[in-house]
Amino acid sequence: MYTYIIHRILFMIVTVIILSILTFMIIQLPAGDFVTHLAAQFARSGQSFDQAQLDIIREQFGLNGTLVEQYLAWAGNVLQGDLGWSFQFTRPVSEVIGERIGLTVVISLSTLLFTYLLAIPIGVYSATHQYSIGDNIVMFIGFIGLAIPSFLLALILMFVFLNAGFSVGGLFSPEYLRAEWGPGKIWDLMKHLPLPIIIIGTAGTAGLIRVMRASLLDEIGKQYVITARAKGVHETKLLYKYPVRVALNPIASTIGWELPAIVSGGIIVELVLNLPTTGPMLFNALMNQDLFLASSSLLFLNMLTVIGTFLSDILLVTIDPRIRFTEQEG
Amino acid sequence: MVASGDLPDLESRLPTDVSVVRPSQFIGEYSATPLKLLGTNGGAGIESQFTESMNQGLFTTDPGYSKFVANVAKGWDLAEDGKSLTIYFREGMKWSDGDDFTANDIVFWHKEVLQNEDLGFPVPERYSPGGELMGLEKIDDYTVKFTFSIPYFRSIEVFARDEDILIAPEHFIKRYMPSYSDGAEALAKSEGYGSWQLAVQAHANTTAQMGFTKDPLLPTLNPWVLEDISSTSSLWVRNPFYWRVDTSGNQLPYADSLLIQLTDKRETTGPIKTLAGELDFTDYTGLALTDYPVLKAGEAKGGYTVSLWPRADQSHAMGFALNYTHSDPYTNKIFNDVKFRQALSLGLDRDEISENVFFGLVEPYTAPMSPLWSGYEDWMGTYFAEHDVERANKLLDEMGIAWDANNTWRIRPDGERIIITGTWATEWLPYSQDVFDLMSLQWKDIGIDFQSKFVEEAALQTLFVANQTDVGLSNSDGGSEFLARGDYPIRLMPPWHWGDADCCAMAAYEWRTWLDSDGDTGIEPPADVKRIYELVTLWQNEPYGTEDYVAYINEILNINVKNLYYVGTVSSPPAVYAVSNNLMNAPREGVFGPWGEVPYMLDTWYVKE
Repeated sequence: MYTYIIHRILFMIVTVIILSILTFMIIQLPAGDFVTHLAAQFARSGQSFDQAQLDIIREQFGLNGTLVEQYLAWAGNVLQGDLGWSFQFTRPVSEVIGERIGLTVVISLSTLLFTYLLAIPIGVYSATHQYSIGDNIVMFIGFIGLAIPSFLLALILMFVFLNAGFSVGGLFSPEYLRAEWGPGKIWDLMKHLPLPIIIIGTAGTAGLIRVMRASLLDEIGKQYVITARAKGVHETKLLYKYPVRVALNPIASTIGWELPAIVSGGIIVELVLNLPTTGPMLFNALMNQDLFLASSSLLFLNMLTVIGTFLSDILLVTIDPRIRFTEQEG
Repeated sequence: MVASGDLPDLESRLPTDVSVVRPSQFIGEYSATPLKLLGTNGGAGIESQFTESMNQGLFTTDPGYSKFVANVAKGWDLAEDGKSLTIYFREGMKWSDGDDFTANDIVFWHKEVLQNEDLGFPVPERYSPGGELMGLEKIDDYTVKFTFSIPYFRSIEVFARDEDILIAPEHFIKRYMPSYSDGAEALAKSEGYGSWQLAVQAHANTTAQMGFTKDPLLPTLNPWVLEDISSTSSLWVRNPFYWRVDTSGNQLPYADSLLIQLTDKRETTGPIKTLAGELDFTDYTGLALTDYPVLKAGEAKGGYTVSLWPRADQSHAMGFALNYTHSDPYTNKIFNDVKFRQALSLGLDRDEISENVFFGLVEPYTAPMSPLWSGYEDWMGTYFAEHDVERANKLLDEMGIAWDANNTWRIRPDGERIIITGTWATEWLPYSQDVFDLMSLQWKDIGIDFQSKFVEEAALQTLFVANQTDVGLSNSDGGSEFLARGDYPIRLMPPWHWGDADCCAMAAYEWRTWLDSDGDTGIEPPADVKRIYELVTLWQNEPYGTEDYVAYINEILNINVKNLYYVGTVSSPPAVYAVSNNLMNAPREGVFGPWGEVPYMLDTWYVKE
């Protein structure tokens, strides 16, 4: 197993390098660069640049070499721990990302928790009470949750919350924006959290209920369950010890994907809700061709995806005894 | 702080000839409650309308936009021949860190920043009237004299808005320059900049490349100084050395601080935060006309007043200029026939556009400048503005453009349908798609297939410059006479947009290339266009308001309107403002300025508890 893990890690490194080259190239594919954007934005507000100015700004920003030169320079810096300079924020990329990553993880982890805590029990209930009134009601709500685009849900819920007297948009009320962390600020954050969690989590919850219900239904009818029941194992123990564990397989195998999602989040919803998270930051970085901010965030996401996939493979082995590493011979 | 000795007393903090303003409503009281405003995080560094309004220029306009008045500078003298401009500063005026602001700061900027070749920035055109760098003479500590090689009557307009001159405090910037400080390079590195040049730029914004100050260290002349900026907000605190008082002698600003809440998407955050009463003042940068009904309904609950301001800076909501240097010979031929443009204009039902997109608040309007311009004549605004499908079709028939077999579309001689593709950037005005859809429907009646295509902004610029567009579409930013004279008449000469190499050409870019290169490259424009080009220089170099001045601009307008080079649809929609009922001295109604900004007198605002 250890050789397997070392093999995997080596492959992961190669994968990340290839991905970083690809993303760097793809970000550069659209015509123009950040300096073109800058010029266009200033033109809209009434100021213009000449070509010589643009060339000099490019040089200062390190945007003047060929694609390969630019990549090598950036990759070299990243290896030394320097993620580069964000043009639009005029600050180092590490600061821009660092500032947002904490709240992003808070939101994403609570959303994940919300999703699992709600979806798994409901899924189990639906499967064990298939076609009952409860199952039908839950499924009806679930399908609605799946069908409504989350940004629409965001707009509707924001309006509802607003009329109910809640502060919406962002994660803090204006008076706590600059405040030091303390009970007041945490309480203010708690008051703002339910809305984004419900909105971001709804679609995922609905989907997960379906997955859980379907895979559990598959298992419940199997021989080993019948055998266990025949041997007089208690219903609850029987359910949770065997079929539920197996039914968690599809969920466990996708946990790897959740890792990057925790950081990238629901970009559109976060934009609509004005959350200070990394999703909107990445979106704007890509829109404005803020090269180093975009490349470095995507590199980070790539690493998380690769690590996540690795972790879910390991997790699968622990949950499902049927899955074992097999040495490939010859 | 004065008592503890941390700060000198008020007397010595103010200049001797202090600037005095009369607040629009009340002599205010000092308020510890921050003014809550909205700013944008994304984009190329443009943070908010307010940081722009807050930045103090040498001169400003009076609230009625009728004339320039003193601001940072206490006065000026433009020589009769227009070849020199003397500027008088306030004795005893100080930067926000308490250091003296004197003529030396201007001399330093002129010599060490503007002309510093190591810094790598070429001199912007506005500082080189007639192609020669303007000179600077220090008369005494509080007086400087700019000299020009040609009469430069628009220097007031040019310098009034200029943000570069006043952002290079000598004592501060010197520390980043190796010629003055041995540790400059090391200091730049320690602050995270790759070179001392980048550090100077980041701190002093030597050209406007980074937009607005994001540097808490930089001394300024503004009412508030940036204290701290993060992804969610920026906090600006009182400048204790601010050089302006109210009519009772109280030093401004009234409000201790500004809290600018930053958003990544102001289109949704603006209205939501306004409805929730979490903003004291929101302007058109955060609110769209489509938000108006919802905002109006939420007035009582949110404790604010929403109002609509006519815009003096724009002439219309959407206009178009065809690509008169189109690479396809047939397209080029019909685009260059004025009858084709007349037919397109007559084919538009502007009332329908007004009703459907702008709640009927706008009027049909074709001219590429507002009626406030010198030299404007009454007929210009509605020239070919009526909806007359029959006449439009007759014009197209006269041109010999045939219908297809089903009489649905007009066709080219080779039998292909005539399609005009309107390329537009997704980032631009939210209402544009609605206008384009109506234009499409309306032009169907005259057999012209107009298709709107949305691309990303930078990609669009590339298409423009590569001469690969059919038509340039735009709302009329920068359409004011002040701005046009001071900088560039954006809608009145080819390419009917900014004419710079890497940016934003709209139509007939090749004509402009020809004119700029004296005929070396590009495509030769017709005589009318050459005449416009000549006239613009004459007009810009003429003192404002003279008989010649009016005659030049009148001829420029006449040629443009009669040729329909740039055709407007409807007049510009009003700007939406929401002002908290607790916010004192902020304007509740007004006209959005011809400069593209408003003399809000932000320093007199305060929140009444």
